[in-house]
Amino acid sequence: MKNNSQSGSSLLAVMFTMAAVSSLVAIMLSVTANNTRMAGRTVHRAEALAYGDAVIEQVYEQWRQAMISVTDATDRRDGLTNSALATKISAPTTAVIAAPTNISLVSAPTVLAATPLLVELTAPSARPAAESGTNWTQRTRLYYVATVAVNFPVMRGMSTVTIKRSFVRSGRSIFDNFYFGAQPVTEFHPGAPMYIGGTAYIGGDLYTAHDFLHFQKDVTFLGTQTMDYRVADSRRPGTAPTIPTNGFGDNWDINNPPHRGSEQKLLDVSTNLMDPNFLDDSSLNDTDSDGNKNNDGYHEIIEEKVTSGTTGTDPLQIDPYLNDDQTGSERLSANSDYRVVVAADNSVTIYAGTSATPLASTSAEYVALKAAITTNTAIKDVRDADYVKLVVLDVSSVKTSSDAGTLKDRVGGGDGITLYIKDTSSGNTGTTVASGNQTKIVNSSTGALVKTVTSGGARGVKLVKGGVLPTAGFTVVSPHSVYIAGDYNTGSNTVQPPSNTASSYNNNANPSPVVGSYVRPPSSVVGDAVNILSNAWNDANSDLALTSRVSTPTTINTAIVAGNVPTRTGSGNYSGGIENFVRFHEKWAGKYATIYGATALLYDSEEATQPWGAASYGAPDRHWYYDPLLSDRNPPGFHVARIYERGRWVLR
Amino acid sequence: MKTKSQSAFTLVELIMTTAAFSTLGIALLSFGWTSSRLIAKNLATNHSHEGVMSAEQRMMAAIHASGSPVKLQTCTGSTYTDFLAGTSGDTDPLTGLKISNRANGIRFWRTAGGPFQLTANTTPSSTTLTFNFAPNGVVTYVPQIGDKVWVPLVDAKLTITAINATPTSGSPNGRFTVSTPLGFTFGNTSTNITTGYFFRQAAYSVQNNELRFHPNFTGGAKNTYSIVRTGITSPKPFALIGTDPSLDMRISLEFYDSKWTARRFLGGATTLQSVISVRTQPAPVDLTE
Repeated sequence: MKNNSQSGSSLLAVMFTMAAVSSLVAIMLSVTANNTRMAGRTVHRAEALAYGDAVIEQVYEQWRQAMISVTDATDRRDGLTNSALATKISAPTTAVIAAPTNISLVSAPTVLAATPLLVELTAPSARPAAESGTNWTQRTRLYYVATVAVNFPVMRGMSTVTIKRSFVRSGRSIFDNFYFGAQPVTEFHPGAPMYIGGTAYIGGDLYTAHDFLHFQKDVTFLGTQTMDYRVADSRRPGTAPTIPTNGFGDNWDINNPPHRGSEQKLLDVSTNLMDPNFLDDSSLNDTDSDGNKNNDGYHEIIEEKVTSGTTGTDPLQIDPYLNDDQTGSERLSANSDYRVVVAADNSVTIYAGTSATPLASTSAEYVALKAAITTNTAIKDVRDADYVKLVVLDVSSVKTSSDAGTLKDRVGGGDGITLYIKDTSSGNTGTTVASGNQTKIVNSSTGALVKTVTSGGARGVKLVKGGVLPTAGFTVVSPHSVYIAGDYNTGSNTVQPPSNTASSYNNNANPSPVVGSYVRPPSSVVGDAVNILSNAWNDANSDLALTSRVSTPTTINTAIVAGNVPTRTGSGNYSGGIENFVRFHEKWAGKYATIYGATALLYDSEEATQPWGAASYGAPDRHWYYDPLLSDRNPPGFHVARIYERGRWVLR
Repeated sequence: MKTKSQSAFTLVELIMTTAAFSTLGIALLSFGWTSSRLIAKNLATNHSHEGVMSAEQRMMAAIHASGSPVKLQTCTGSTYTDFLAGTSGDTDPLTGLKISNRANGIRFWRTAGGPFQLTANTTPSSTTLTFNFAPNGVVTYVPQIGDKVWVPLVDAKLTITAINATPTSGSPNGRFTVSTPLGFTFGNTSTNITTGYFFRQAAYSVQNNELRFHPNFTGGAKNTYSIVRTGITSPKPFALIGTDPSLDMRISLEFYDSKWTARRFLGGATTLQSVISVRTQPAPVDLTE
């Protein structure tokens, strides 16, 4: 029989064992649980951050849509107020972004107007304080700050992570780049040295195959970069790309090669409003597909608005507050100070500003402009296989009239003179003198008649004596081909700038593109295609062999907007690349073709549509540089595009 | 008085008790041992998860706020050279995109200060700029030679080549010289607000099983670093998505918990694969040193 003390010992032993085991288990559980909770906190915080970032992205899109869709003039100019914006911003539904388990927004996300120093303005009526400071008053930036706070579980209770991002609406110009390309495919295959001394924006895929190419500044693209010819190019396969020769260090900064960038806006116009036939790669389908004659691609900026028949909405007219004087349009024809219309009988009608009533032929403005214009001469454009009936503009005459105040800045509020020139004649000019429409080639030096010719339909504008531009700034726009003859905006019509006379280029200290201390006024030349004729050009030689068209070095200091003929399948159907963005017609044979300015390839050419393979020229030594003066002051007639950007990301 | 049967029973009882307690002890020992292993594995796994995730979050905060794309580096601990990455044959499972070859370091330009207000007018040829570095009375950033300033209004990116006046809280206007002229006229800086953001090159590297952060990856200061995490066993955790350099850094960070994990408990190694993107787009500065 057991005694009491024996039973107690066993019980104690069992209890001790149980206590020890329980303690051990409890300690294990506690340590494990605490550790799991600590690790869980990190996981939950990461989930909260990811969720907050996703919400911020949704809020950004809500903000952007709110900003681009307002119609109130003050809101468009100065930005939405906090109270107006509050009605547009909401937390995404779980169907859009489902919050992770146990993670939630502290409150609805907010977007508040801010100063440029990112100080949030809390008053309901507050609008952003604009950042400004340059000579160009349209160059402003508006700041908003978005805040998203997210709760996530921690060991005891909840913690919060707060993400702040600035949203920015900035006024940017396509001329902030040396090259702005809106087409889906961009090719750079120069057959002679080509130096691009400015940033390049490629709004699609980039093809670079030649080792002659030298990008000296930042290059971004939206699609991909291929070190070869595009598939449609007859050189692929078969012609090996030379760009890998010596590595890529001689083609661009090895620390900053061409890279994928963010989309830059061309105009303050949504691409959704444009006919897609005119925005794609092929020019073969450039026909209206939606019955709207006013949305046929960015070529519209050099066309007049169609007002007769079924036209549809004009997407280039959405913002009446583009100009400082709150008038104007993104359609350059409507934004010009003078519209010069040449009829089939070569009569000249001139409209001032937005007036639909022609100027009287006795008015000082008409007389001044008419004196600067010569009609019904021609040159042979070998590439277009036609004699081009020209309107010749003596720029020096325009400068004299503009600087004297005879020609006025009627649209744009002080942005300079914009001249729109259009020849309304169409088709064959006729072959007989009796028709009155026959055109003629004259000797550019003597003015003597060389021969009478027939233009099959090509029309153009030729700019002569453009060495010195109107001081206020000067833009020439035409829906036809534009030919720049000789030095442009260099400071003299007779003296060569150092960029023409230099025996060599040092790309870190280039010879000056101007004569003396000439200050280049902001300027642009805009056309269906833009051609450069050298200082040695003579119309009389235009239909002679290439050996009779020998160039001399020439400098063009202006922004150029033009179209091209995209590459098509088949030999000789290469677009010519950006090296032929401006078209040449002479035997340059390595002579300098210098451009200080900016270039924008926005559309397919609709008149000068023959492929590059038909051209007759010898490649120049291209030295093309960005002119920073264009950033400080936009060329007449152009406006800012409103860019929406995500700014600084801050975690709290 | 004890009986025989009582004595015999006591012996058997002792044997049985001994056996029972031995069995129980062995069971307890086995339970404790197994539990300890499982707990250690669990703790090690949790800790390694914690290790790589906290490291990733720290990198994420820096990369998200970067002012530039990310460039791969080959780091030896004393020398740092750019690594031009070609595309590898591997696909990132998160994005489905091809990743580049791998490296053991990255460099980028971190946001070091700003926005600060331009406080002196400039001409297009100006190479000397003046900013108020203490808008709230406290100088939070002092410019140094080699830093970059970005003036967003005109998208100008300039390198600081000399410090002319160091800002202090008592004299917040700092003045410095930049490499090339600004190219713009900035007028009426007393009424207009024009801002600048400042960037300093930074880097992450993996050396000696350490994930290192180099906050001032400039000149001789490149070798100065802080340790973000020890126990990193992936020798080349960094790659890029897309072309080099890229706005999307891809890391494959392996962390081995050497302290929490005994040799027999090989459960503490964690590999975290993640893509971290630069959030400021377009990135305001490039990677030119």
